[in-house]
Amino acid sequence: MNTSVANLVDISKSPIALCSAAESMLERANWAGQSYSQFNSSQVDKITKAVADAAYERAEHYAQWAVKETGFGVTKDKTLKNQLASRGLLDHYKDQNFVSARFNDRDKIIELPKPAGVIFALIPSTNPVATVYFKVLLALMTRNAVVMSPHPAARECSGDAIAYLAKVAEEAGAPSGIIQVISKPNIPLVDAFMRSEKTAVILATGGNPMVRAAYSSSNPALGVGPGNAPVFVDKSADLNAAAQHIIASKSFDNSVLCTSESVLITLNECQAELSTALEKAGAFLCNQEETDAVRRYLFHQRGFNIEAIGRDATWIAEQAGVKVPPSSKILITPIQRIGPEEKLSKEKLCPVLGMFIASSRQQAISLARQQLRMSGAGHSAALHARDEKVIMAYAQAVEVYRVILNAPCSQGAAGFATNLAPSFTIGTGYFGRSSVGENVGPKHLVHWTRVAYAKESSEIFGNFDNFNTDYNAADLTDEKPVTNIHYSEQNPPSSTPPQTQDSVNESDIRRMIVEEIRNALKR
Amino acid sequence: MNMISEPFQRQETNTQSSIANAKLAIERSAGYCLYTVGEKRFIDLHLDGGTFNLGHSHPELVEVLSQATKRFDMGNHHFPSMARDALAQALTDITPGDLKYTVYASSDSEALEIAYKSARSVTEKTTIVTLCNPASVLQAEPATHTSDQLQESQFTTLAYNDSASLEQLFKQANVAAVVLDPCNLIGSKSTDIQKVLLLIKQLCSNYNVLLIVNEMRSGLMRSGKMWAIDHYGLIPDILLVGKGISGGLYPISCCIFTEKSSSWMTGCAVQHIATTGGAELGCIVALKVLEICQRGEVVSTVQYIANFYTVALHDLQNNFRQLLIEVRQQGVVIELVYPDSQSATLMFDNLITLGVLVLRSTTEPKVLQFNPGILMSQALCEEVLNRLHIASEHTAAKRSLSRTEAGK
Repeated sequence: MNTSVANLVDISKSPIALCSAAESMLERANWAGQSYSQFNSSQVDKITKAVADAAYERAEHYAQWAVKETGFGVTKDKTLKNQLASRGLLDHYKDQNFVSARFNDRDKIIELPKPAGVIFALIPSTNPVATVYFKVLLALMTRNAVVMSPHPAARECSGDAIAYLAKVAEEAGAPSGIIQVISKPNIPLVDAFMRSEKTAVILATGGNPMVRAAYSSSNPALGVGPGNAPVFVDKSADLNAAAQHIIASKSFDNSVLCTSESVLITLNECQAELSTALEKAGAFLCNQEETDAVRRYLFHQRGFNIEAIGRDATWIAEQAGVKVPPSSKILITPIQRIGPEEKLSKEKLCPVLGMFIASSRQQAISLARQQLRMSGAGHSAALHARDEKVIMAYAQAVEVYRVILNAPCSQGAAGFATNLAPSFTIGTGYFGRSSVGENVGPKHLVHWTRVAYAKESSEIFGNFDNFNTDYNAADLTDEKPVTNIHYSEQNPPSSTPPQTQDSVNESDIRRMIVEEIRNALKR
Repeated sequence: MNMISEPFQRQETNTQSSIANAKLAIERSAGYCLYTVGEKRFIDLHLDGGTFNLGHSHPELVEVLSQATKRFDMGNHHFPSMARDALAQALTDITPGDLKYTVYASSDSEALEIAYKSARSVTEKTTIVTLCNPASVLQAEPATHTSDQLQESQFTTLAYNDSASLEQLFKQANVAAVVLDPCNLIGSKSTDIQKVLLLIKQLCSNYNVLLIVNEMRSGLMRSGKMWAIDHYGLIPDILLVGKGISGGLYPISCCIFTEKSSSWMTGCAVQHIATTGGAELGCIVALKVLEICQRGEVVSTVQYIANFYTVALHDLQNNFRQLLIEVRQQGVVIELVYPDSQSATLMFDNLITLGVLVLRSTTEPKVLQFNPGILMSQALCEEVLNRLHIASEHTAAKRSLSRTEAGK
């Protein structure tokens, strides 16, 4: 007989049980985070490096798994994303420190980093493992605990990757429970996590309803909005290079990144040359009839056909009944208007690119704005141009917080083909109803306590030379502070003391246990 | 029953007066806090010995009890029941060895009585030996829990590590069972405890004496593992579970037997059960308690709390060497030992004044039992520690007026 209480009285789906389940995990995360917040810079570096290396090693393994489980994307591209989100991410931040105090003797201000606490992170289905890698490393770099909620469509690969990274982190010395995963996420449970007072910040990457729910939770949230990037190819651009960038971007991972181009806008005077370059680079230019067929396939009455997400161009063409060469990397569908009535001007997470021929630069820029008004506000736009006037005019006009210039937008906006911060959480700022307009990075998960001296010159800034990056606050005073206890979950309590000689008395054992618990933090 | 010793009497009086002075009429409780009629908040490290291990009115327990009333009631104890069976099976699944039959009671003392009667029936002997901490053996009450005057002579106490005397007793007296509460052993080195316990187990086996382990205070993760016996690899003949298994909501206690210790039940399955023992609603709450205690997050959190206090109390002891002379701990079963009963009383009072409730030891007047719940938050643990620190300062200062060595 199954003795589970749920067989007799099942309350597992009640709001109370869901809240309680969330509170249990968050409380453990809170203990872990409190412990981890006392780690110094070299301890944190050791853990983040171990985790980044381990993640990198399994980049391809999890890329294959994600494609198999979700049906989205391309293994090769996902492998690259996983690599970029592991060692690549760590490398980008190698000279930045989110752990040690800063001393500014000119302004007489000391700044001490304070981790958020417990991060609740949503993991999307389109970029599951790369987002797991990204958010885990962000949390570890900033001494936060993180509880992750994978998208149900990518639950297995995400869950396995999270458990793997948690194990590696703990083996490298991180407190137990610093990285946790919700094994069976569902909307009411996720809502309980988002609303809990124990959640310090929600890192929301995913569909718009989930992001809005994060913002409505009453907790601080760093959310993103949908993408729908216009790409304007100006007559001043290197058209061949532009075509190659656009194809490389739009076909990358079958366009599941929200940063990929959605509609190409170009000018009458260069469209013929650009079209030739695009075809040469691997695009299939649809005629009117083929465009209608693709539109019918991609958009149902209910909206975008999710079957098409992350599928390759030839598969989509076949489903739409359009014959294309097997080498086709993307489908380009000419459109005569940009707006709600033209569905192909909406966001399409697949390698299908709308194309609009504008009569002037002014019209092109105006239509780019129009496209972002439909969706994608605050997100990304791309531009291929050499003329500085056009660059400035376009960037000034479009309501986004990143304009990718002469580069593939997918990789560029996510910080992998540009010097923007590498990120799988693209802040859409005020245009996109988000609290952050930058690429989300570690700096968003730490706030700084500022110790400010009086302005008067009689107040002399202290000598803090001894407080280097490995300084640990709890070691500061000779007299042990009562509120700054070093502890960890590792090491058993006194119930199982280390093997000792009989001559060692109980107080010695206790002292040894205390030292062991403290040392667990210094590995 | 033995005469209550004088220090114990004093302590009882002091405890009562402290609580009375603090006007501790509890109006409501939530989590690990109690609120008096005047809305004064007390952090509960008394826990009624572990009854409120999961906190007061844990929302999931309240919910499961509420939902259970739609399907169950107390149940008719003459008939088999799904709820009782499920709890018995769940207990079997998480207890070691061949502990596999559960008899239910509606109170802890009733469970003890069932254990004693069982042991007497199985061994056809009468004396019950209570093992306790050597430091408290003179003041310990034999665990009679009975008003039967005729039976009082059949109870005795011994230090748990005095195996020579125990064997002597086994030879001379008509010993039916040895009773052990693991909480009484925490002042000793755990390697020694393990050695001694296994020796006791062997002696019991040699002399046809049943070993009863009372896990009412130490069980349900309070020792850091599900049962304190799990630390030592000890398998008793009877395991007693009470207090926290009720969730603080529905009274229930359990005696878990092996094949041998339950042999007397064969033939009459209902002779051991009382009308209110093992009420179905209590079984449902208990099942939920067991499920919560086994969650990975909870197991991890207990370890954090235990380690937090291991380090924190070590530091506190360093600051108050003359006042806090010893800290005993296994998991979140913690005892703070003071130089004398007056210091312990003063600490107890100062903690009450500061809004922290702890428990006076019934056997050692100089000991305060300090019982963090297994779901306590880091913030609350830290708050308790702050108050403990202040109470220690006040106590040390006051004691130094008459006894300089008690100062900081």
